[in-house]
Amino acid sequence: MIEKHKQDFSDEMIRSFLLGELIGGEQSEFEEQLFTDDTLVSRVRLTELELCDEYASKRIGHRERQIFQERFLLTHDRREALKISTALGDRFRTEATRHSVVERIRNLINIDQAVWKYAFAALILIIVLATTLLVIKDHSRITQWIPKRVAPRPSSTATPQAAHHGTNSSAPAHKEQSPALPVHESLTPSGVLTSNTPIDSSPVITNANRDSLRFEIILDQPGTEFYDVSVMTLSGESIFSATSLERSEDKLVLDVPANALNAGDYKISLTGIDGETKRDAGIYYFRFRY
Amino acid sequence: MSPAKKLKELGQQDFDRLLSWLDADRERAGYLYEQIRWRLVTILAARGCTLAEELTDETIDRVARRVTDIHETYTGEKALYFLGVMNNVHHEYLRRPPPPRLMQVDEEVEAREEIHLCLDNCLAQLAPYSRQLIERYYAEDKKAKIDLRKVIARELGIKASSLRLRALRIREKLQTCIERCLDSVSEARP
Repeated sequence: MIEKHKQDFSDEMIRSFLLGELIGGEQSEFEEQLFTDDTLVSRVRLTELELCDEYASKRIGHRERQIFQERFLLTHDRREALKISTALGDRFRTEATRHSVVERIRNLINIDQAVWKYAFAALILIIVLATTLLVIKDHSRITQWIPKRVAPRPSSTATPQAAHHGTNSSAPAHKEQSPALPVHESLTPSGVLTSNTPIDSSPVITNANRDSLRFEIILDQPGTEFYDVSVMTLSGESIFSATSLERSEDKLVLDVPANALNAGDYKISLTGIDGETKRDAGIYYFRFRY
Repeated sequence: MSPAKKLKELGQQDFDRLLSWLDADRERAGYLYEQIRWRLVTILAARGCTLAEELTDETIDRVARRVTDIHETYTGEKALYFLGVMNNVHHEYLRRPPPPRLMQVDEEVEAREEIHLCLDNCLAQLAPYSRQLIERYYAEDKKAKIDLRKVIARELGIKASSLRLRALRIREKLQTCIERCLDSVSEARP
């Protein structure tokens, strides 16, 4: 017996056969192979069910639906298969409607997808770059966010209260004032100078690690308000001078930078300023030692 | 006399002879008979025959009556002998005036309920994996369904064509199970 060559029919051809759309030669060839090829039988059976499913779920076009009704639903078994397809569709579409939205969202945001990983990486990069740009371009705004440091105010400690004070008496009002912060002017004078004191009996001033030395110069005749002051060595070399110092009652206050002085003897010459005229107001001596 | 009625009148002796001719193993012969019957119906339906099942019964009836004459002389694929007889039966059918088309009766509510009941029973008999697969395969509609099937195939790491085959084989099992279930329901009906 000569075995005929088996043709590999496509799924489309199987559908066409079931819908009665194969033409002469193809039809007879298909029919003959259907009787000898079990694999083809299996495929045709599955395609029959698939057609019923597609018809039941309205997944075939208008023309195919018409052919299906006229040329496919000719047997009892197929009509029964269609009923089961309809029942399957009803059953699972009803269940699917509940899950479909969740399913779609899950598929959409499937974190395993590489595209999401790249998107997150890009997002983080953008945030980092944007922050850097903001800091560079608008530093003033950033500084507003940084809280300013406020120096703590000096505050007095509460006076201790005696525990044995009467309970009916009101607590004594706190009258102690905060001690005033020392001001520059209130520095202790390094020396008080009077006129006509000879060099031998003049005061000895020590540095005591101060930046400047304060002298109180007692005026003999406080006739003018302002004075020019010149600090010199005994040989007459000027080392420091100040102009238009204002008198305070009968004395002048003079601050001399400590680094201008070396250990030695010095004299201070005063010149009173009275309008346009100037006149000598006395010589004062002092000794400076480290 | 209708062909179906003729088959009913086919004696047990003729039918047994037909099965013996198909295969010495009775079970195997029964399987071959079912296969041949399905093929005949399918081909007649594909030809647009509105009486495919009746003409198939007529074909089988004729072959059964001839088995005594041919069982010693016929060589070749026995199934193909049915095809030849069927062609004759079909030609005779085509020469007859077309039968009136029966009006399709609407499905009864009761029958529909029975199908749903059987469907539930048969789904419960499926393995969890098969049930889950078929549920997802038949979920959604139209375009959404196609997309979902792509997703399922990707998840399972198989091609869409392989998924289709797997699902349809489960569907075929369901079909057989539901048909049996409906048969038993109709038998139990008073």
